[in-house]
Amino acid sequence: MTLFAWLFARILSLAPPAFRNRYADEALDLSLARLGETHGITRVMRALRELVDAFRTVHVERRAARKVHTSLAATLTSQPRSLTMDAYLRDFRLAVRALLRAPAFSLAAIVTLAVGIGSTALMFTTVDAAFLQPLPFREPNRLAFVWQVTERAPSIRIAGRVWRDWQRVSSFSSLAAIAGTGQVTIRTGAEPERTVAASVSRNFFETLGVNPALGRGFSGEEAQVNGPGVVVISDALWTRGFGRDPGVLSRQLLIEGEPYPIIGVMPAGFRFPDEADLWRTFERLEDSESRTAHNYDVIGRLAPGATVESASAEIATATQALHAIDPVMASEGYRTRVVDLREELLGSSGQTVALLFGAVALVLLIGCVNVINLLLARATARQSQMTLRMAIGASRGAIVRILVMESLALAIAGGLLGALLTFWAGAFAAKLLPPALVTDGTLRPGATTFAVMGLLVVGVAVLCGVVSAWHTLRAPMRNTVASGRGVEGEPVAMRVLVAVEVALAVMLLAGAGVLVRSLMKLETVDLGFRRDGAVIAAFTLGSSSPASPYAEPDARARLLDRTLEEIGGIGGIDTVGVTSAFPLRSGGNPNALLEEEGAPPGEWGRDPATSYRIVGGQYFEAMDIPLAAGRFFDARDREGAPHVAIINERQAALMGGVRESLGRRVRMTNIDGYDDFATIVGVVAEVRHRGARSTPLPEVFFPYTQRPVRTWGMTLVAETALDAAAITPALREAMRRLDPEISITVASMEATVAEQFEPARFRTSLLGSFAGMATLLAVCGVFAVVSYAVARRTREIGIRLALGARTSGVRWLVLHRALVPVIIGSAIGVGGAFAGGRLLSRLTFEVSGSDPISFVTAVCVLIAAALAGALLPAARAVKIDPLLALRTE
Amino acid sequence: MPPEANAFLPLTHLVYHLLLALAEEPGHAYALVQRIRDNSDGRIDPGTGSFYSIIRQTVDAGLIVDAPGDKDESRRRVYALTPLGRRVLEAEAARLEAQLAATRRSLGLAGRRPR
Repeated sequence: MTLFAWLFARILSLAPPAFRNRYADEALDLSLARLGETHGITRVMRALRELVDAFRTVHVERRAARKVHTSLAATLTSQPRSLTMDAYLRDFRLAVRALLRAPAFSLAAIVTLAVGIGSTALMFTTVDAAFLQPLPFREPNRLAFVWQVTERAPSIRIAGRVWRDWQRVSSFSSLAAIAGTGQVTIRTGAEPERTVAASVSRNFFETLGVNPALGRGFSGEEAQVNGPGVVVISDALWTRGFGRDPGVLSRQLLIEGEPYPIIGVMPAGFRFPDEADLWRTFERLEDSESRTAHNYDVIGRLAPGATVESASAEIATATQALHAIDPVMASEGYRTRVVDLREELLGSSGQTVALLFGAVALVLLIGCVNVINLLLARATARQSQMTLRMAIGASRGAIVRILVMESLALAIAGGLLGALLTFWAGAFAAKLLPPALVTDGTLRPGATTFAVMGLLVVGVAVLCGVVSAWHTLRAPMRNTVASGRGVEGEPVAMRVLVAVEVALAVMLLAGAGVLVRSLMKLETVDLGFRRDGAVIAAFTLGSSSPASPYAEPDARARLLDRTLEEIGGIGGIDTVGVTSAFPLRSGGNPNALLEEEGAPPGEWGRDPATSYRIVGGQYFEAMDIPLAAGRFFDARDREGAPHVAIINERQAALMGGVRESLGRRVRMTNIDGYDDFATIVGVVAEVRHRGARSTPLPEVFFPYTQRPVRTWGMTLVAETALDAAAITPALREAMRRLDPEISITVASMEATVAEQFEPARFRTSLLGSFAGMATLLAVCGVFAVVSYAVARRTREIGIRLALGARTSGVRWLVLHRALVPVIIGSAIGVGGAFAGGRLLSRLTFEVSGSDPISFVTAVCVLIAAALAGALLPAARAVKIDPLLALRTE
Repeated sequence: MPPEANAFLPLTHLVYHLLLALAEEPGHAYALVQRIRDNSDGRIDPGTGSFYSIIRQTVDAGLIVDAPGDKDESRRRVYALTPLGRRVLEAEAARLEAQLAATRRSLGLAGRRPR
């Protein structure tokens, strides 16, 4: 509020000394004290009210100081009345009436402003949700994620043992861990349902500072190894599954067929992380003592007085100390990174939002330029009227006031019409931001958005009004009065404005071009596996609880055998396989080091670490992942046979080559006790596991027939020419026959692949439509200015034609004059686009933010469009009848 | 000759409420703003500038006086009602009462006083 104090003091310093010296300081104290009683938006409104009131006070006190001779008693009894307010209102009414008399002009201006103001407000809701609104946690700016990092991997998860070691770090008052989220099958009614379950540490809720609305969080006993299993559910699940039954705390939730007592219900809107519906604690399960089993996201609350920097330093020191006692951890050589929660959750969305907001602001600016042009054209046409007004005694202030009032009326109408656009604000925010940032409240434009719209309306009115007034007052008055007509041609200001809007439009078009090219590259990138012709079905196979029917490895392997057999038997399905980590969906975090038999530990220290997947059936064939050398898994690889493994080319490269790695023996420790070495029998091509933008990971595959590792989430891939919808009933029926408690989620391969391009597509189409609007507005601007100029120069053109000028010469005269500002604007726009390209570069894929092809295309498109806009008036110019033109004299 | 209290009538809302707030006891600006708000059920909540403008006018007119407050808070002045101020407030109250009575008679509300 220091800005407020400064403004308030500045305003009161304008009051007469008798008032100022006695009361100004005291008034500031009182005003600040009263402001301190309010919060949030009421505080902003109060501050604005105080400033306006201060202005009025200055006005009243000045008037009082002038009237010292009038009776003091009289001033006390007169009701406070603002004469100037009446005058303003009268001017406003006059302006509205003048605008109603020119409906075409008004409508064009209002629609232009509505689009500009409306889309800016629309984007502002997203900006508000992304950067301004508090996250739904207590003191969210005190929360931070802690990652391990290498040069290439910015966020490696943390081993449970390291997380426990870090508990002593005093910069964090609390340090929680998230083992992850996954789909689980729950049953609250007749049908099983799949939903998202989070596995968190006991202190998770406490760290975030969010308490259950009903019941409690996890107790110490429940977080002990082999402690009782309990669950905390979301408000949504409480509503959906239990009809908001207040007695829910004495009921149980069936998860994977196992009953869990419900101990708490979280407040509405709390779904962190990943839209979770239920939370369990992982601490009741035995955890590895390895410091290199990277299994947890770690999130901490900064202790009082600690900062992200001080916490970073302390965590780094603590980690160095661990390296000293743990040579395996030291061999990884990972550093640590502490990052603010909002920054982490926003990721690259922050840049997208900033970019689009910048783009939409440019559209608004172009809109303003067009409206200014319209006002100028109108003002020039009314030049004689204005001059007359001034001649009979209207002050310059009165002229300015009329013009500002006209643009205010236009801006208010535009703002009201534009407010309709904010209806879609919620949908925009939801599409542009990660779910953690989109809580129920952010889905509606709030008071801030409307306050910003108000400011935009005033800003637009002042900008348009002042620029046009400035121009009107500067125009040579005597000439116009003398001749009764305006000057020839269009005013210089109009040509400058055309250059400005062309420059802005070129920036937007170039940016949109860069994103389109990037999207094209992204969509055609080779993922390494098929994009269509298959159906995938995700399901959960048991849970970690000993009571789960699939806790035993044998039971898991048997069920998977039967599943592949049943599904493979469905008509229309060619090949079928199963994996523990389907690309694009899970398994994006490297797990651990792949250890080679006989090699010293230092040799395994690869960056990044290897990811393991448990696969079965004809997984590689169903995914269309080609074999580079050796063989796929087959019937030989049964339980009891020597253990085998397949690696991908990326892993083979780390081991010295495709051929060279065949036959070598590797293992990965800490995975469910399967610690023996397995022989590499095949090498497969690499896939972009984490999506088109990612680089392939080193991977190792083990067959479930030999290692039915307890990886709960599994995904079936079935190669088929049939539609996903057509085959879904058969898949569900097959699973129901095997185990009615297992629920599956079916999707087509095509849709799954398309999903990951959705954010890029959305932002590209958004920027594309902004650029389209900008171009359209710029062309309208060029058209209007050239038409106007031709109309103004009718006489001159007529004389030229009468004196024998050729029509081609006249046409060139008009086009040349129109194109000069367009070309200058394009050059400036290209410069601006280069500057903006740096921000864009972070969002593009294999295309530079200052991509020359996009830039050249943008300039060509705009010049061509501008030329088209100028052609019609030029054609009209050569048809001018010289006689008629001369007669207008 | 002391000014006649009736010369100040009718008072504006804000002046009336300021004098009313001071009728209880002297107070500094912050307390006065609070009292005005409470006495009017929150309907009168003057802006700080306007409030001081009224203070300046009433001080100049001799209805209230300001005195430096306790030493602890240098800038806070305490305001108090003058005898003239009290007479003006009483006169205004009498005027309002007469007006109210006249209104009641015309509307036939006599005797039906709200409890």
